[in-house]
Amino acid sequence: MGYRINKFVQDLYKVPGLRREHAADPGAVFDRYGLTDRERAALLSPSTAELCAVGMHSMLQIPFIVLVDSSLVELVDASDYFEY
Amino acid sequence: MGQLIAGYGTGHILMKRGSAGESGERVFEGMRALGLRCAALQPDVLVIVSSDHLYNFDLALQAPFIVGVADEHLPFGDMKLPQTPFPGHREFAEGFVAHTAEHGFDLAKAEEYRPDHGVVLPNMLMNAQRRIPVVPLLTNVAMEPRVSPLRCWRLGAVLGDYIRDRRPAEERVVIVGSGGLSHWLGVLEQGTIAEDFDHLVLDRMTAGRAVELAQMPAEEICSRAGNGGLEIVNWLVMAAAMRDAVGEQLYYEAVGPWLTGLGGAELKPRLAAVAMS
Repeated sequence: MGYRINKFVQDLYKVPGLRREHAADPGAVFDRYGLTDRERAALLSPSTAELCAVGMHSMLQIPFIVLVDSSLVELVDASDYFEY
Repeated sequence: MGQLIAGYGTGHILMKRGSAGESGERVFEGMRALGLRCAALQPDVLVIVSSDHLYNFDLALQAPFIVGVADEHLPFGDMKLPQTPFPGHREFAEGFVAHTAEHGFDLAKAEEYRPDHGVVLPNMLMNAQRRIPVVPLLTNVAMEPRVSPLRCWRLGAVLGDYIRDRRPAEERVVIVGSGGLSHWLGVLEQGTIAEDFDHLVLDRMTAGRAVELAQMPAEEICSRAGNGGLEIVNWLVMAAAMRDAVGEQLYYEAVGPWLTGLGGAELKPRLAAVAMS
């Protein structure tokens, strides 16, 4: 399992500003994490099969896709069941 | 001598309202009914056994079992759940870690754990006013080697003994096993739901036969219920603490749009169940 791609996803949730930087210039961020061409392609067009193939941990795939797929952002939302 | 007054098992996801039609609504109604039952018991402590979804305990440092010992828990905010703090119970939590150390377990302690939906969603259902202190116990279903169901069972037994033997008289404790049922996430089988296995879990849990599930290797549970289905170890911790309690199935739906079989059950101590029958 490749750790670098997993560290990248983990850091999206931990390193301030990284999500914004990734959205603006993914290639520069991928350079910093030393990702391979195949890893970069998997991140830019994510599918379960390809993310598995490049070694992304299964439990990191949803947190990653939630950040880049607007339809999933809308789905993963339990806010309207509760009154806060 | 504390009192372990009930145990609950419940799924811990809800997706956008309306995205699963009536099936999703039935899940929410089941969860809400489960939460009201728990609230009516007026527990003094809630132990919520869940799994962190790599928001806190990621691959950088992995531990099989972790206890949130902080005085207050600040939610992570995933699933668009509110980041409203709720109380912890340091004395209970640290006492539990110390107790387990005398009984063959080395649990990690977390001061800055940010509860994700696995803890926050059950807490919102059962502890809506956030008045009951919560002790999160995290099982790591993401790491290899996988957490052993039998070891989770044994940890649950130690938790039950801690409550019964070490806690103050009259302290009323509820344990929640959070997660499951079958789901495959981030793997090629994603979207599969194993209804037969889910019903097996609910049947065994409520019939006082949960130990039969604990005797399955983790690999078998993953094969039959998915990598996410391994979260039933959280139910096993609860059931072992409750010893041979029996109970009632409260809801089940195989929710295709949410990729998950979702179920809930209530266990009561056997003496109480007999007295009520």
